[in-house]
Amino acid sequence: MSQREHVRSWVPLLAVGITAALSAGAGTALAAQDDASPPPQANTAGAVSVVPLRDGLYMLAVDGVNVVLETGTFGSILVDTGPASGSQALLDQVRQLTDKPIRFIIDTSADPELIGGNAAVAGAGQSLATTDTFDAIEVNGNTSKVDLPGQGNSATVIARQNVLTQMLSQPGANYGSAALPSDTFSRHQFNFFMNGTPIAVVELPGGHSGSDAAVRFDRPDVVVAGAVFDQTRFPVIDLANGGSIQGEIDALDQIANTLAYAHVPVLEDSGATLIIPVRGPVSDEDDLVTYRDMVGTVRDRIEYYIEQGRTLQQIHAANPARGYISRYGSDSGSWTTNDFVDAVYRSLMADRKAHRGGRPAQQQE
Amino acid sequence: MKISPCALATLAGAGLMYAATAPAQVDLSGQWILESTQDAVKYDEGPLTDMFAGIPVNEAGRQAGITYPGDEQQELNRQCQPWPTHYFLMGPWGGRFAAVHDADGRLVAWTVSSPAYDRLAITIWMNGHAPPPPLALHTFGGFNTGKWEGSTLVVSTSMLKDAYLERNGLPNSNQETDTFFFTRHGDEMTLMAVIDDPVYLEAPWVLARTLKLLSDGSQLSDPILYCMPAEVLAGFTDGYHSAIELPPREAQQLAFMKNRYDLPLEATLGGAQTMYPEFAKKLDKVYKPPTKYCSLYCTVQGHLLPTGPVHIQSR
Repeated sequence: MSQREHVRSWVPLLAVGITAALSAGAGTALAAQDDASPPPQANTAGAVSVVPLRDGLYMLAVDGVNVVLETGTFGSILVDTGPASGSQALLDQVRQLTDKPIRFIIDTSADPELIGGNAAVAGAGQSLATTDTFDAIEVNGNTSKVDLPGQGNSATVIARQNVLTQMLSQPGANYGSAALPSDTFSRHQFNFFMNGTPIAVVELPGGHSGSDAAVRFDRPDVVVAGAVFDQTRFPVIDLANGGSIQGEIDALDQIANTLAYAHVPVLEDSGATLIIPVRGPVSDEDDLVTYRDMVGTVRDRIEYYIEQGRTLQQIHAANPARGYISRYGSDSGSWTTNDFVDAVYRSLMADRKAHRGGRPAQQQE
Repeated sequence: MKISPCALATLAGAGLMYAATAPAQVDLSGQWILESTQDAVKYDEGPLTDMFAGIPVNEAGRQAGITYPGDEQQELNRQCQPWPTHYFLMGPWGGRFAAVHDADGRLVAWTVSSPAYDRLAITIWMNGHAPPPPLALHTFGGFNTGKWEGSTLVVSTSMLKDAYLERNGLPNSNQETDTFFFTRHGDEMTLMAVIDDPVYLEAPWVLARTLKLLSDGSQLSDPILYCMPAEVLAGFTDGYHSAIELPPREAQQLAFMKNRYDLPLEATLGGAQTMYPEFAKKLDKVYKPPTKYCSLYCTVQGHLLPTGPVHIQSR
């Protein structure tokens, strides 16, 4: 029997024993409680798990990758579309949640696991610009019809210009035109207003990649953080596509300090900003800051070891991710703890090279 | 105190016999304060840095605890963070227990609120409230359900956030689950807890504290819910609190208890074995306390005395 099992086995008995010894005659009986348990919430459909957020927003975990659905009067918006393998299950789930057509897709990066469903989802959608007529425009309490010229039958895909560039440059990638962003921007922020809420697509510093963006839904106060925030593993730093460890920390800082709002007074489940990580549970600023400090701690250790002139091999031996491996690490899969340490090391070395004009003499890989 | 299996069985048997005839529910409502004489330094001042003895922390938790810079909560983002539910056993406060009934007088929930902003009101659902989906927001208060076992209120807690297990920086993960046993006996209440965290503990951590009912007319403070991060204080930042030369500081922290009390790392770094009396006996044979040692509150004008020669300071 393990220590965990051992303690689990005797503590309840001890508690009951103490009850018997000490509690005779104590207290006042209350009215009988209602033991009828409602059935568990049904929250899965195929590979998609659904968590209702606020005001027509839902988090949908598609094969473990979080996608956000916002739906309202003028149609639906999906932030990211998950891996291609889950696109049909995603569409099935969206149809269960709303009969409104998908008007927009917003990509928060060019990762295949985030944009893999673009083609299928966009193809199942309908751009506002393709709609001949839509109704329920309320002006001064009156409903009116609006006519628009039809121009095609797919959702509009919004993304940073870098997303499009990265998608087109991925070796072996063969995205159809429906999957590609059709409305790109290169300014810092892309704002629009739909379904009663301001929506901001915000450029992030190059952390996970050079294409990162976060999406803020203002009125429901929900931020989709994208790939810079992963509650299930160390952040993926895609150096080849513009990612860097300093950009990662800066991106998390930016979300915490400019896109998220803490509640005053301090209340549990108070309605403060919800932050959606790329994987894992619905989060908030506290979760994001815990993650940021973990990333910063590992970065600081590796930076210190580099200062000392240690090689990458020696840094691995020093285990710079110690303390966090059981929570965020992995020995297998597409992004291991060693991959993360490698990426942080290479990112820091690249920074040093850029700032000093050459590689430090100590570096030996 | 070692509890023999026979004693356990006797207690358990007595408990089961009593439970069969005991009233199903007990009124816990009122203002309860924690008996602060119990491990006063740890619970009031807070546990010492790098002192994990008696806590079944695993290597990951240990390493994260050693890393804790101590000033992390000076980050603006962290200044107003509350503590998780388990802090009820570790902090200096007590709490107000209040029953929530529905229109038909049925008990829906117990709420436990704190007089401090650093711990939030906890709701203990008694009506079979459905759990949130696993991917829903995890909170500092977690999701709590209660049931009566005899006259003990047994509370199961899950859906907690990644935060701190202890004030010295030991972490807890969002996979932590707790079981609390509230047993009232007159104006006192025993609170026993089993804290389990597969990420940072190698065995469940069992804790117990005693609460006393405020029956003399005194009152706990009203809950303080106002907290605004203050950047006017020197050294507070609005971003990641960069730790300078972290590994050397970790080494310093590792040596702290050794230098101050000559305690072996085997003890101060905690682990499941350090919970048991057998470990204390083993240590007795090898531990030589310093002839002069700083016993309590070893500070001069708010600063810890330097390590090395030890000083005795009377309270």
